[in-house]
Amino acid sequence: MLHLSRRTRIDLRNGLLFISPWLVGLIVFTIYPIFASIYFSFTDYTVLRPPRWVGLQNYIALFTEDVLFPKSLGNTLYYAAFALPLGMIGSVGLALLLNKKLLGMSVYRTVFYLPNILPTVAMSVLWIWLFNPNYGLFNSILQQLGLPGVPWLTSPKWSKPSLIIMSLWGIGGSMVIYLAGLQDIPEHLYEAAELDGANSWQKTWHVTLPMLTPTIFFNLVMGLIGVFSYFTQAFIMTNGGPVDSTLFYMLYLYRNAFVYFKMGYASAMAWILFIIVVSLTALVFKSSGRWVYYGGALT
Amino acid sequence: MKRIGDEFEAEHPEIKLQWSFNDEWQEKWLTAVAAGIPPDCGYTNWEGLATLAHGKAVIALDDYFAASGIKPEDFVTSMIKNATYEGKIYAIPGGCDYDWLLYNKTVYEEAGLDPEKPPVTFDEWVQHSEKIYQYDSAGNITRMGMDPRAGGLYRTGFQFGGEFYDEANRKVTCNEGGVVKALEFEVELAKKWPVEKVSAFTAGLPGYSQPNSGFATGKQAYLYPGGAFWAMESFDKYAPDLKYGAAFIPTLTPDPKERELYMWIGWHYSIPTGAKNKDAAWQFMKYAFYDKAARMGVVTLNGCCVKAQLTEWVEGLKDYFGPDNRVIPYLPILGEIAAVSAKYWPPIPVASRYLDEVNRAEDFAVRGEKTAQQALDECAEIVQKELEAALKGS
Repeated sequence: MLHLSRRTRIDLRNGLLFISPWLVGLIVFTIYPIFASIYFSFTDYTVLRPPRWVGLQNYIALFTEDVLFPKSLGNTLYYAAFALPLGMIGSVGLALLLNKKLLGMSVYRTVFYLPNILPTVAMSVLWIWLFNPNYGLFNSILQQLGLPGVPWLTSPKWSKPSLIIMSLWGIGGSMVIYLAGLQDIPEHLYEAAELDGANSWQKTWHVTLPMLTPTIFFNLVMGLIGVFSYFTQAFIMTNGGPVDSTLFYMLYLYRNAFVYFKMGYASAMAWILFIIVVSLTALVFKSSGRWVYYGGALT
Repeated sequence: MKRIGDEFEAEHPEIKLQWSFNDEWQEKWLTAVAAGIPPDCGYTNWEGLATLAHGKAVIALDDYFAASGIKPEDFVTSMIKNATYEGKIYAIPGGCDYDWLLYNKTVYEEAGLDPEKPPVTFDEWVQHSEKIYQYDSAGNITRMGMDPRAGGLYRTGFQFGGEFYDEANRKVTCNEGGVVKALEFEVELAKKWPVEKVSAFTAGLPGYSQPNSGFATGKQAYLYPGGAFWAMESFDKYAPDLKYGAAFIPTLTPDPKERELYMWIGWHYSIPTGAKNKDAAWQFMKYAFYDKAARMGVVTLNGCCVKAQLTEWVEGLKDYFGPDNRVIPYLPILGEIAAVSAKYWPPIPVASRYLDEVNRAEDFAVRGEKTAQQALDECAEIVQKELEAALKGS
């Protein structure tokens, strides 16, 4: 039994009371649903009736019978494989450019960050127009350049690349984090490199990027979670089409849960996704020892 | 809707109505039922009702119907059949989305067609469309005739003599007979007018409820589906000079009996299982959707579902739009199709999934990714499995 002084006990009680709204929210709206969904994933649960235990049936059906499950997973992996690295390269590059000490730089930073404060729904509607094959801005530009138009969202070949291109519009969010990371890099490292005769490229490659790796690591993990939970844009812009080419994992999960009332099945999907994301995140963490450099830390 | 509610409250002072309007009605139903606090009555629709009935989330209304002297055949066939699951009625039909073919008379004149002779058969519709479609030098559509999907396979399947469900044997039948023929017909149309080009063209056009819609500006010769009720108001507001006409949706042959194959969708009202004031709920539902069905159809601009009130409803619409309105000569069409049409989307526990899969099959076939038969075989297999799993869980 832990012996606490009266003062500590009072502090503990008051502390718990102060955080109780958050604690209650966490338990009721996060922890309970998480554990409940583990149970539901082993049941046939329509919400309308009590759950019926079916063992591994939902998981078996997902892997052996459901043609849309591998399709939605494949679409999501495709999106992740391109959107995540392109987004990271883009945002690091942009942050490097916007880290220069030039007049009006804060204006540029604001401009690049602005898309992030737009509601995703409004942004999606806007991009539907940009992608319009006959009247959209992109095909107008291509036409001006004498290039043929692209069918963008209306073609199964182009629909995913279109959404990947669109995702790059939001790189301002991680760019801001990279900028903060860049400004944490001590000036003396650059001075030392200059004394050693390093040019700009060498300073970027041997000083900036290694010192930025903790930020890259953070954005990689967050980005990984983000790309696997990709939903809103596809829901609004294409609703899974054409011919399932944008049926992403979360969209299919949503349909199972709230359109087909297959809550147990959707819970199983959620746990499979959780395992995939956790595994990939664990891999990133495991590999981080080799490429993430915490400046000044003893390793 | 609230206006009818106010009138009901005035006549029934002992009952007070409390409204909750929500676009995500299915989620609302789910959560309210799961939490044990359902409303006394609520909106359901053609896709979702059977799922709720199968899940015993709504009660059968047969006793209420009988006690009130209301017979199922008092309602428009498509709607009451869609509200019936395993022999019991689970909802009172509220509003039906009757549809017709709106056509732009100016486009007809420009294309050298008689503006007073809209297409009667599918073949005529194709012939007219061949004259109407126009393209720019790059091959992009600049003026469009019929949509190669012709209103959606879930409707045209019936018009080609198909059935989507064999109720007696609980069998999904979309891969047989007429439905396959209907999809093959769409595939042929899509060879003439590729879906990608059509999508590219229509994606950039404002909808019928907006100013400068594709139909009002003559870029689209036809408005179907979605041409009834609300479109007319928009045209009066945004396109007062538009010359348009309305016609029966084309059929395979000119035989008017084929109009019985029209399939309508719509919405219902049901009483949840745990509702506290079931009798009061029924009183309201009977008042709003049976006693005053014609008036409800006029004030909410919805399709009246009570057969005996169809004439009253059409007359009410005439008053609503005014005697000089362009649409007045055509309004009796709506009453006529409401009375004769008999097809309905199968009320099965996986009705939403079925519709999604039919749309998927259509998409794959018209884009040439699969043959009509292949796409529909896969559709049938998936839905049959889902259906059996749902029925097994009951």
